[in-house]
Amino acid sequence: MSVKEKLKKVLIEDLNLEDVEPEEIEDDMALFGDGLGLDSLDAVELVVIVQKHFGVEIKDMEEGRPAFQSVNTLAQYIEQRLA
Amino acid sequence: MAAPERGADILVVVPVYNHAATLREVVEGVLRHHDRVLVVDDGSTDGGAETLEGLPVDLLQHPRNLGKGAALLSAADWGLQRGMTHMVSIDADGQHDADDLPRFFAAITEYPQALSVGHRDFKQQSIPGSSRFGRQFSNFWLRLQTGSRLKDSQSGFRAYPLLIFQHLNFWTHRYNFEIEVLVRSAWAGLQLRDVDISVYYPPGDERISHFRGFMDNWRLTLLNTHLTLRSIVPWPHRKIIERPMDECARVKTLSVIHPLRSIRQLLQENSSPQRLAVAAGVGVLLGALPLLFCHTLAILFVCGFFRLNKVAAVSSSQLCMPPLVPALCIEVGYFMRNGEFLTELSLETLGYQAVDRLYEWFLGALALGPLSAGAVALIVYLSAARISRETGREKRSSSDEKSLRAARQKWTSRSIGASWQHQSFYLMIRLGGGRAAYALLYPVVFYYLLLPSVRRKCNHYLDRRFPRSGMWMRFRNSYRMTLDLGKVLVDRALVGILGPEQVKVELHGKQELLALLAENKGLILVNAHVGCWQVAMSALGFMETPVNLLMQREEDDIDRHYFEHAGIECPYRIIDPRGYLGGALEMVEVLKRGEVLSVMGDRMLGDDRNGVEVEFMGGRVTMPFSAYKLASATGAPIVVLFSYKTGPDSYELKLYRTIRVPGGLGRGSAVFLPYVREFAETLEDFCAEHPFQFFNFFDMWQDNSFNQTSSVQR
Repeated sequence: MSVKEKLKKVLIEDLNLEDVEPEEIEDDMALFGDGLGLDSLDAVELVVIVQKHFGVEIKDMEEGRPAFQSVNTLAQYIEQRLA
Repeated sequence: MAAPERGADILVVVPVYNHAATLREVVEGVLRHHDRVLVVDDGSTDGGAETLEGLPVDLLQHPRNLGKGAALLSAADWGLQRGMTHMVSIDADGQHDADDLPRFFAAITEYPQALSVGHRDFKQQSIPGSSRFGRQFSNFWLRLQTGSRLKDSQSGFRAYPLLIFQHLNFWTHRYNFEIEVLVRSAWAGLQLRDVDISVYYPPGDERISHFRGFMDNWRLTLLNTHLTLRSIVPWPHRKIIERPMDECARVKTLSVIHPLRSIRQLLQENSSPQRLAVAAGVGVLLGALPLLFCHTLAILFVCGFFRLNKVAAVSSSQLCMPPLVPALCIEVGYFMRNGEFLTELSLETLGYQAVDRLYEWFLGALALGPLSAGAVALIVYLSAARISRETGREKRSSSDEKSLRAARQKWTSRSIGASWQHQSFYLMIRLGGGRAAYALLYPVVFYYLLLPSVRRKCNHYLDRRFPRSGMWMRFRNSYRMTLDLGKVLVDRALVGILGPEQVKVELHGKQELLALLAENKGLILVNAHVGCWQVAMSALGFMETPVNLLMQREEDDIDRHYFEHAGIECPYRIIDPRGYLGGALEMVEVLKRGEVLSVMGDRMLGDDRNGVEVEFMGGRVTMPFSAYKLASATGAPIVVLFSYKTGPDSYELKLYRTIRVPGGLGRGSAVFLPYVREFAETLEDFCAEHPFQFFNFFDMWQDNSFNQTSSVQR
């Protein structure tokens, strides 16, 4: 399973996104605001999720901010850190 | 049929309270002239709003009667949100004729920065004598307080530029609002204008008035007292529109010792030589009278009324300073009574016969006063006329610039009032330390509590804490709470100005705090609007860990003064909740670094939607749950830390409770409710111990269904 797919799966599970299927989340959909509709506290949870499932700790929020744009950017960030 | 051109920028508002019989007719009349109409139903109980069925108007409803002023303020907000620039108000009781509306639209087009007030011509109609008197009375006060003249300051048929509602704050929300808005607008530099309108007073039983005699008169008296006192304080009013009329701003450079330079200064402020001369004469005339310590007050009143230059009058009255002029007056008076001058200066003549001397002083002043006033006026006139001829040419060119500036509506700082109040307390602190500033607090707080709006703010909380208080207890409690807040603010400035050693802070729970920090998962301090956290924070230095505050920084935020006056860099890092994702990522970051994060737990910040309803002091309030979510996500322990003042220069900071939030609680607000409730309970305990140190001046129990807007037809 690619990072992107896994990411979509854990997003739905850990954030309890009801009525959303992994296929419905588009790769370049905005995570916050209009797109997926996550809010600021979900961002907090997201930091935890990334650490729990991928072992990547986002410590510096200057890095985190661009990564949190979409599934694409986040997956890219995780892959970079794992490489 | 709409008004020409500017129509879309103008809102016609019909505030209504129990005028079901006339409302529909009035609104229909308005619709014949204008199509942007808003009815504000101020809690009517006669179902008047239902009579509007089918009319193309918007309707705003107050859940209960809040007063005509509140209705106008709601309407102004509504208009501003929709980008409108002006608002015409018309009464719902049928006393105004909607056919006069075009006159207001014309006035708005011609004088967009003026507040136009409909002038009812009483001569044509049979008007009750009490109305006539009331009008004269209110016109008189307006003129005394602002120097502006209106023919009918009580009329509710008006055109308001909405910018005044953006920039001015008002204290009153009932009938006297209509007075206050005139005074404050005039002070802010707006022109007040008359617009002639027709008048129709329905016969006695048809007309319903909601002016409640005694209470409204009492409120009006309080308001007038305040506005009048404010009007004689030579501190500049906040200007919305710059008018070249402000003689107060340059007080410092004027002095009788430099008469010519002073006259030149005053001339630059657009006073004509004639008016300057009259002002100086009035100053001398009143200055010569034995008014005993009330000279300045009397002069300011008289000048306010006749719109004379206050500075010129007060300065010239200094010429009558004792002992010379009083002595001269007494001699003249003595001569008038006895035919000879008083030569024997003894305890007998100056002490025991003091009343005689006072009488002679008065007599002498009546003779000498006009004489010297005339002389001074003449001298001032001659010098002023000469100076103004000399500088005439330069002035003409700069006046073009001035009008250009006025047209551009130069907005000035909002916080002049607050700033001078702060400054006077800072001055007291510098001059006499904390005690001196405290002493100033007692009368100031008392004065402010005379205002119903301030008392109302105190009672949201106090009525819950002390439910069965009578009127006096309520006043006393409000006084204590406001006074305690004042003292805390003074202490804050004291620490800033004179250094942290001014206040001793005792910390309870130091070992526990150190133990929690040693876990190295960060630490969340949940605060509330109690005590003084700035002072208390100084006791946290031992932790040697950076402290981060979640705080919205406002332009005129009072917290700023604390650091600015210390002349130090802010010792905390501030995380702005208006930043990216509400500062959430920054908060996680600092906790991950093992730092301290301090947040307010009792109030929602800005547009934070992460609140949960919780039981607090017998009602339901919304409190933020972000802190508990952060704790759950990062494993950081939460500490409820409150400070309170225990003596003139001592505070205590106490760890009230440690809250542990388990990880993996997930989404939603309900899961955090138990922890929010723990905090609310802790705050209740604090309020039980220190009832006057929970500085809550807003209605956190307020029903959110308030002020709903609905449309009748659309």
